Amino acid sequence: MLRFLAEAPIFLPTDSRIAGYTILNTEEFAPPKYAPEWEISDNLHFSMGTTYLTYGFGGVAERAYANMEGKDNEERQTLLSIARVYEGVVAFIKKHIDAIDARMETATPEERENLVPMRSNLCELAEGAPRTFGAAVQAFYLAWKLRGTLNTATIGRLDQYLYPFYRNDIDSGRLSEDEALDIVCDLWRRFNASGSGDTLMTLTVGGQDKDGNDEANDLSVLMVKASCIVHQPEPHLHVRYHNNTRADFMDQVARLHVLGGGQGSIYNDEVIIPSMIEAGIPLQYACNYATDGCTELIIDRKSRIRFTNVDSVKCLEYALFNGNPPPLPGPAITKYWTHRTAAKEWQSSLVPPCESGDISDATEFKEVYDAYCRQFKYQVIRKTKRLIGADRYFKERSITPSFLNGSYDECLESGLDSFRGGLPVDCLMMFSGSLTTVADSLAALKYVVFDKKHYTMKEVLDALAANYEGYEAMRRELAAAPKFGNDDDYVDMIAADLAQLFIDTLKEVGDEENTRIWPALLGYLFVQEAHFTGATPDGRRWKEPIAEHYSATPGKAVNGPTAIIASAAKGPLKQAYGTAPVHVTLPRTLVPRNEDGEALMKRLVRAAIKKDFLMLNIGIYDVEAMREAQKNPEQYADLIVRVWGYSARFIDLSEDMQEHVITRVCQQGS
Amino acid sequence: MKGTVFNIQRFCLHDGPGIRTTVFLKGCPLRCRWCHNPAGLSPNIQVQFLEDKCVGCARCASTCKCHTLAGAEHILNRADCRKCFECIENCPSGALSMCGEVMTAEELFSAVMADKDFYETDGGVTFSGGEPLLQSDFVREVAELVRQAGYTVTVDTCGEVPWEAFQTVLPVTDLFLYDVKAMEPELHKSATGVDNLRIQENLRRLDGCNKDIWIRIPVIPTVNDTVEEMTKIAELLTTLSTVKRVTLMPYHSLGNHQYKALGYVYPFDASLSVSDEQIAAFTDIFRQHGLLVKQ
Repeated sequence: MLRFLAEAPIFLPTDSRIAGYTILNTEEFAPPKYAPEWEISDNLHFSMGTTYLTYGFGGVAERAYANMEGKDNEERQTLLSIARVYEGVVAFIKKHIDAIDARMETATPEERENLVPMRSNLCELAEGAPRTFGAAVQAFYLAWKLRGTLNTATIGRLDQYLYPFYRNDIDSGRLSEDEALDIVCDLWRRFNASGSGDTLMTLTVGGQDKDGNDEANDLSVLMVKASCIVHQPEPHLHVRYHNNTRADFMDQVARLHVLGGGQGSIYNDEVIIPSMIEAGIPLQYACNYATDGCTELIIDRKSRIRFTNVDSVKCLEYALFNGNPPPLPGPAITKYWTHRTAAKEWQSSLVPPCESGDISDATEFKEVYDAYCRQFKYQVIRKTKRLIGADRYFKERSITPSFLNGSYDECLESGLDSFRGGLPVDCLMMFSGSLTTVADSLAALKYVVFDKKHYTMKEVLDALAANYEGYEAMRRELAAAPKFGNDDDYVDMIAADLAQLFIDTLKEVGDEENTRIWPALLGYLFVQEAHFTGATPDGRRWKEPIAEHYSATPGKAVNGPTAIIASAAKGPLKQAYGTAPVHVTLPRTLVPRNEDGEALMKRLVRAAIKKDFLMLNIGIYDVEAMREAQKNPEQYADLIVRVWGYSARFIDLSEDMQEHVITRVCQQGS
Repeated sequence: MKGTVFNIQRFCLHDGPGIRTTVFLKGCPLRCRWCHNPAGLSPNIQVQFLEDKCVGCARCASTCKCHTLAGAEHILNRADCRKCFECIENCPSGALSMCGEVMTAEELFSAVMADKDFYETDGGVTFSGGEPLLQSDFVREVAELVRQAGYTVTVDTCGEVPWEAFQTVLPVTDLFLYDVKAMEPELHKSATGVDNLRIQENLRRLDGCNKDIWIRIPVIPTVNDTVEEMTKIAELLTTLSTVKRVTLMPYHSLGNHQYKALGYVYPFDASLSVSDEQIAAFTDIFRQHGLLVKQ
């Protein structure tokens, strides 16, 4: 890190007041070759601490030196590294000041307008702790960049970190609200210049403290406003809602919703906090939750995160064929999320299947259902134990970057590594999304094979193995069976039971291993899973979309958004405090970009809260615009859509992801 | 009390204030040539056949002689249909379905309460059709339950019913959506099958009942899409006191496939359309008459 700080380029943007590099050109500057240390244990998926805002970068170094006294050798070493790295940051800041002074002589008056406040902010940081809002923003940007070095990372509860500086400047008359807004917009543009899409740049605004007081502040409102103005994919703004949330904040959030890019996902404090407490997380931490780099929850500045997922639809294939599924019709080749990456062959991360029972002669639905539960539970247990084992192995061997360690109050005081006792809350999380597609499939079998008795299990299995080729009548019959997202208990309760099984199993394994496993009803490789899973009994052919998270399978919810919300509300969303995201995607024709549209957004949010939703994401898409964008991408650079935990430019998505997003636009409603 | 319903649509945003569930009741006294919801015309339960969903399995033909499959083509002989609906029971893909369902007031009330968490104080239930006031006693019974539950009731009517039907629902209705199609009785008759004398009389009487009215005007090419006709409608509306807003609904042929599904022939020219410019010009006319126009 010290070498990085010594060699990293000094960058002074001409169109911003925030100093510091944006993206490193890795051809000219290639730190990874001498930087194994800080890549080791930081997955960038959780928020860093903010000691540098409290003490300044130099102040952190001083405290680290002071805290070395009386500590054991390992802690002394950790603190010494912190001290040296933070001294290096001060030197790095001073180099920026020198560069400004050198530039100043030849600068145009317009450039000076940026350089003068930039210099003043940097001087504050070179001398000590930030005092002004501008300097605090500068400090955050530098720290955030240095933590990620080459990559971008979680932002955290930025409205809370920066609010004291904002309040102070506004109260003293040093800063007007409009000037503050300009600074926030400036920061937002710098975020976007660092990349967009799956960048982990999530920012959580609003929330409440341990006494239930609203923590949405004037700066929270301003940040949402900045997102409306800048209207780009970054940062991914996540909103904490509770019953005492100030109205002007939610008004501004509704304005963001109406823009339609899926920004402003709602997280419901009213169920998340009690659910975390129930799981044994103390109130003081539970009320300080934020989103990690995606849509999962962490405790802001108090926990890291490590996770893995269970491919629930692939489990279905294993269960239907007793652990021995037929070969796929072709290789599972697709791209990650953007068309910019190369296509590659994907495979499931499940462990080798167990023999969950031969159900080809099943005469009762229960036999099929039980076989799925056996296979699914087997996979959940194995994968959770692997996660726990991997985490223990990792903890014994890894060292956290000193810069990250030094950002946390706890580590700076104790000298403990943030991954080894330094942070007070552990966050090991298991994901399982797409259980709704499994429910669709099981419901179709129940309906067509066991209720109507139109086909036998054996016939359906043959059709699946043939990817329905030669079985079109059967496929359409299965496709016409009840589907999740239409407020039909027939299938919704199957999804709810499977989600409960997942949560209960995690609890069992956690109790056995004396570890808390955070349950999350989500998945992010749903496009890939659709490729490495063959045809399913819901009438879906190989490669056709599967559901994401706890949402309806794309194209299958045909009774409008209220029915989607009603279906999801039957599931154990409350217990899935890792997060249980539900997407509602409305056609643009239903949501005008005006007060009527905003009022509608607020109604949907209020209803979801009333139904104890843990998380709601609303997107408003224009299908015609998306089809046009596929044909003429350059004209649609500003079309932003929600992907999984983040938003991205539609034109950046891979072809398969574009189709997935188009198919999920909600049908019906008028 | 029972009624015949052919659709319950959730999340309706244009059939009154707030988020609403719209109940479509069967039977209509008019025969508007452009009707976009022909499932509401007949008061009876019908067999509906959606060609694109048919998988050609011939399960229907094996139990009922009204159905024949000529190759891949399914032919339904409606004249001999005894309404046993066994074909629907046997259809695996949903191609054959029931258009209409007899429900008790309690059943319908329970169905519309599915979205109660979305209604808040201004949303609720809209009765539409067909013509809901042909089943005014049924509407009243369900509407009473909806109101008791704390939600609002809207009635969407064409007006061609005895005044007594209005009186039945008046105490339990918050808002009327009232269609006005044409001012000239002859024009009205040629376009809808009936003249507009009772419709206009009912509108005037309703105006004296202290209930909000939203006027809905379908703008139909070659029927009423003229400045003269729209001006006459606007003039009528200015004489009324409880009209709160006007909505112009441009003709579309989206209901086209429904005709085929019910064995009807589409009676209008689907190639016709109304331009955005026409709608803008007509909107101006109503605005110039001091009326609030909302889409």
